Amino acid sequence: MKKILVLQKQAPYGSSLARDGLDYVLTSAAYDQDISMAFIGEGVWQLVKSQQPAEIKQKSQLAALEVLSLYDVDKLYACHEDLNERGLSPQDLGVDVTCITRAEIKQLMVEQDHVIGF
Amino acid sequence: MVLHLVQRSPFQHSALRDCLNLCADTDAILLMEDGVLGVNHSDLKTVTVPLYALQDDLSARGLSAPDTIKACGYDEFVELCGQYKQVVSWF
Repeated sequence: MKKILVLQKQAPYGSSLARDGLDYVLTSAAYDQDISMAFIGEGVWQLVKSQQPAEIKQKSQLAALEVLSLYDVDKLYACHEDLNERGLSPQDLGVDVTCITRAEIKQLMVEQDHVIGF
Repeated sequence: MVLHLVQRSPFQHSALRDCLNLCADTDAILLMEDGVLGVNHSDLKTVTVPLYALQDDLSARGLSAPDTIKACGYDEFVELCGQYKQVVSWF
């Protein structure tokens, strides 16, 4: 089993990258890999609660993130500084994530076999 | 021990800034594709980790690397990928 950290770096809906990252996580989880996800930079927008993307004909990224625990993916992290920069606080988020600092994310990266960004 | 591959212009995209936010002292940064447009970017002036830029991508855009950045070919790029524990692309 490999330790894999997926960095989610892009906002949802503007491009397919956020969805691609999620597909990667679900596939890896199906192969019993030890997955963590960190939402950094623009990626923190994926976590905002009350997303209603049906109006723009897209599937909810948030709803998809909510089911990750069913696949035993429960190590979700968000970058504290990147949330702050965007005026977001933990109360604004719709998924159960652990807010950690950039320094802690650097440490998390060191502990992995692979780090993959989307 | 991460080799960061920055592939977008820092003037248009947050790739370089996001990378620098998570860059540790033992890492290295390689600029490639439109990432080489950042060779003279002010954010790189204070960086202490080894900096590289792909020569072919620089040449294609009529640019050259300053003294603080080592221009490298594909052979060295491959060597670097093997040297670092992880390779992370920023795009």
